[in-house]
Amino acid sequence: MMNQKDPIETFISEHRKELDGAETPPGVWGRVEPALGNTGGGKLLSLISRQGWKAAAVLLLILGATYRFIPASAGTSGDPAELTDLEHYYDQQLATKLSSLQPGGKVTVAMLMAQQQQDSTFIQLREAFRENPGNARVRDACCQYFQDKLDLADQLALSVRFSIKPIETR
Amino acid sequence: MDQAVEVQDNLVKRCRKGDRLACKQLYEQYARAMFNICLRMVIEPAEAEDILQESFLQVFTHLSGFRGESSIGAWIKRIVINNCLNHLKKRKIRFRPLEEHMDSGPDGSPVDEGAFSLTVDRVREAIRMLPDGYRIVLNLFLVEEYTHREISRMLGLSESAVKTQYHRAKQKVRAILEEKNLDLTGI
Repeated sequence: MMNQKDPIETFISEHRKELDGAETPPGVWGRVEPALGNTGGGKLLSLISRQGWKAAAVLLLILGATYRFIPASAGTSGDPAELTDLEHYYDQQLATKLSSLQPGGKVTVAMLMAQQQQDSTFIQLREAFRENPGNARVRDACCQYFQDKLDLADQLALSVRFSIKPIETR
Repeated sequence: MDQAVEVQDNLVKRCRKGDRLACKQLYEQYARAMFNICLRMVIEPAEAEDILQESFLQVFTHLSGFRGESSIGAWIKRIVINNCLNHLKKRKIRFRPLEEHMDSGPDGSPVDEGAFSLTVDRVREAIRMLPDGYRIVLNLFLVEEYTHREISRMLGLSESAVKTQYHRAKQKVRAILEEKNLDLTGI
């Protein structure tokens, strides 16, 4: 019986990686990401549900006002690279969401990063990060901090979308 | 523990906690390979994109059910392939009956390596031209490296039927390549 190695099998096993020639289509992550679980958003959601659009509008105004009074020189030099990556990623997401909530407004990553330098929770987390590099609990706490902000923006977007009614005129 | 395995474990743990950056990192690590699997299985880029999106939604939804019995990559790949198969079932995949006559001679016939030349593009195109049933079995065995037994479970076929489908798929690829070779050389 002939026991010849099949040239097609040999070729495919030798060129397996080259068969993956197609690039991932852009936009898939953008559709997956919003569906990810909103951990920590439950309390906020119930607050907004109870107080309705007024609470959402007040929170939006507070956020908007905070960004206007941030010194432009505030920066993140000296932060651990992992923290800077986290901050940059989440702030990009947050800036996009907040900009879509403010008609005509534009919230930038730099504004958000600068605002965080004034936030006492973030200051404590940053210190903990610097003192405990690679500590999973500190990293998780930082993630939670950023995700809570992102969830806040998600809930605001939901609330604004479904609760704000046009002012009735006579 | 191996350092690469430890890094993957940490990434999965962070994803389970809902860390979106970790989720994005996991997606970026596997999306391209998974998209290529989808494309090989269903051919149409738009359908492949939909399956990729649906699969990653399932990955992040069911990550708590990942028990680490295989690598995270193998687990994601299995979800993607299941989704491709479910999608193809709607098309009613036809597995060729055993007695069907093949275009390219009897099974096990000697291979004339000079009859066709192999390039990645030509092989990819030849596989793409296969009927659904042949293409699926050939891809799962030869490209995704599942065993005949695993494929038989996935497809609900006997192991011998999978082996037959595979051999015939390979013959068909050879026939396509030979035909294309004639076209190219102008003989």
